[in-house]
Amino acid sequence: MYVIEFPSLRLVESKDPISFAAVAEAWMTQREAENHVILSVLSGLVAGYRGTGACTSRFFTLQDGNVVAAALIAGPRMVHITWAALEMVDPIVSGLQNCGYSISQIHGPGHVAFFLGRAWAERTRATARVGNSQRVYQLARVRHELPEGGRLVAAGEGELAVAKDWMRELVGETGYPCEDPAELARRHVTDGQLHLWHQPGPVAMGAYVEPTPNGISIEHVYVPRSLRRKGHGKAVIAAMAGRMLAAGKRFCFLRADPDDWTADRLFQAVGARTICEYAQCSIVPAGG
Amino acid sequence: MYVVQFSTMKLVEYSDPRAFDQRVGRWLVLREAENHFIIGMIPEIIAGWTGASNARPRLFAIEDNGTINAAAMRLGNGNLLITWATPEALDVLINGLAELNCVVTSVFGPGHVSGLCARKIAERTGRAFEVGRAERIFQLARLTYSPPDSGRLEVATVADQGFLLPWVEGFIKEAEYETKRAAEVMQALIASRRMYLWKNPMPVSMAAWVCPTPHGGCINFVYTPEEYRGKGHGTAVVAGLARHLFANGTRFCFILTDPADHRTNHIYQKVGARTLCELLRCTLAPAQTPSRLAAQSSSN
Repeated sequence: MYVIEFPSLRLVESKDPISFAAVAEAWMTQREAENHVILSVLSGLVAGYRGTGACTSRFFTLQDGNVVAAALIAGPRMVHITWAALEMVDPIVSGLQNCGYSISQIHGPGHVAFFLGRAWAERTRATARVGNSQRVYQLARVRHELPEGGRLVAAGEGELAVAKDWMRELVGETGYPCEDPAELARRHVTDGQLHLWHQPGPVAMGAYVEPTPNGISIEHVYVPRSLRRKGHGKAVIAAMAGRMLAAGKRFCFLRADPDDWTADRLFQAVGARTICEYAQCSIVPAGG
Repeated sequence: MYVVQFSTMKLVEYSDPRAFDQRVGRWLVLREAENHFIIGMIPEIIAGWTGASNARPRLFAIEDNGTINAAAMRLGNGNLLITWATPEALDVLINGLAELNCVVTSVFGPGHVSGLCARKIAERTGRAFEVGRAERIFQLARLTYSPPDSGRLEVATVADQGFLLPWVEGFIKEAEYETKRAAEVMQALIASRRMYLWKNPMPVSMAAWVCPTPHGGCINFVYTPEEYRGKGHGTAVVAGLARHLFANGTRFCFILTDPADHRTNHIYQKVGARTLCELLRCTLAPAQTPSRLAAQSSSN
């Protein structure tokens, strides 16, 4: 049996998103699919910082000579964290506490979120509650032939009404956390991210979100009830992924509730493979 | 502006498995569940190192200025076991293997890595390859299901062999497990006290604990005979064994399933397991054989 020791582990804070990116981005990009959420959050923070010179987020790397884990605290005490081994949980908690930070949510690979949440809760006499999780898939090679007569179309103003209706239905069916689905649809249409599969009229939708250096996520995949079981879901994913791969991306990312067997089967059918599972862990203060 | 980057990655071969264990083993256990199939081989390799040198496994790490980026083992039968690796690290590995005249017959590792590695080797050598079976790994660190009080977990003994052998054979057949030597497998698991039964009150389900890692172990050989199915015994034996392991200091268990098998995936999620990754085996056609796998290869 191994005895694993990390005698020189230390939590290092970076002063801004650009210096954090300089230290951690290349390391996180080695596992781009697994780290696509934190990479995407970082990309947004870097862009914002370049524009305003201000950033309220905090950035950390755990180093043992090299980077072995990375985390950033964004929003209302929300920690986004990469994979970390069990031995790294206590140094991270101690380091954050020594810096005087408090956390209320942890988002990261399932067990990291769980072990970190539990360790934090034990030290602060709070309770850790593991909430929603999502299985992450990577699609690097499409294994689904597109049906003849179909085509992928970037949704424009003319399709906005359909996009809004479908986004409302998607949010209603899946419980996707969104207060204004119509506004979300409008934003994705305006940004050119929302696409529709036409056969010959619109039968399915999906949106490109959260680009990373070599990849992009496909989200909001939806087929209206009356059009299901005809392969339109597979078609829209395969077409969207195919377009991105042809344009030079190395892979696309997909996410689904681990209990969603339909999505699991659909993603595997087009060639996606399981990468990991992300979970959110809430820290509930004593008496909260 | 041009950005010219020269990779400093190189393939390092370890001629002493103990040196591999000391340096690369420590890196492997950072992701012990994902790398358990390599970690589990190391003690066996160290113990058997005295054999014929041409049949010995070859042990590699892809390193960049002293930092390990990936690791691989080429076993005597040509199987290449590989950790997660970037495409650039794979290029270094494949070039190095070619220079060392290491023939690879199959690749096993994280899904996208083994697929890409097999494709690159196939392209380089003009061989075809076949994408084989995938296995999804679940990790269980917190039970969200309590086994029913009406049943109990018991370690299997020699006295159980009579009914256990058909169960192990059934498992091997249904799971398309690689070995065909059911009796040998069963006896080894019983002798090492790693085979467990769920009794209610008669034995209704089995599970074994294999491939120990520093903080965990793999729950495998989960099987419920057809006549006892649909009653939660599979869930109970997994939860019971996990609870037993946690009580004895194990921090997590990992479980391998077929990603397309909804029933077993559901059992593991029900007890609290979370998806960790997916492993995939790809087989390369022999170099001199006309490529009967070409059609499959091109469709993959």
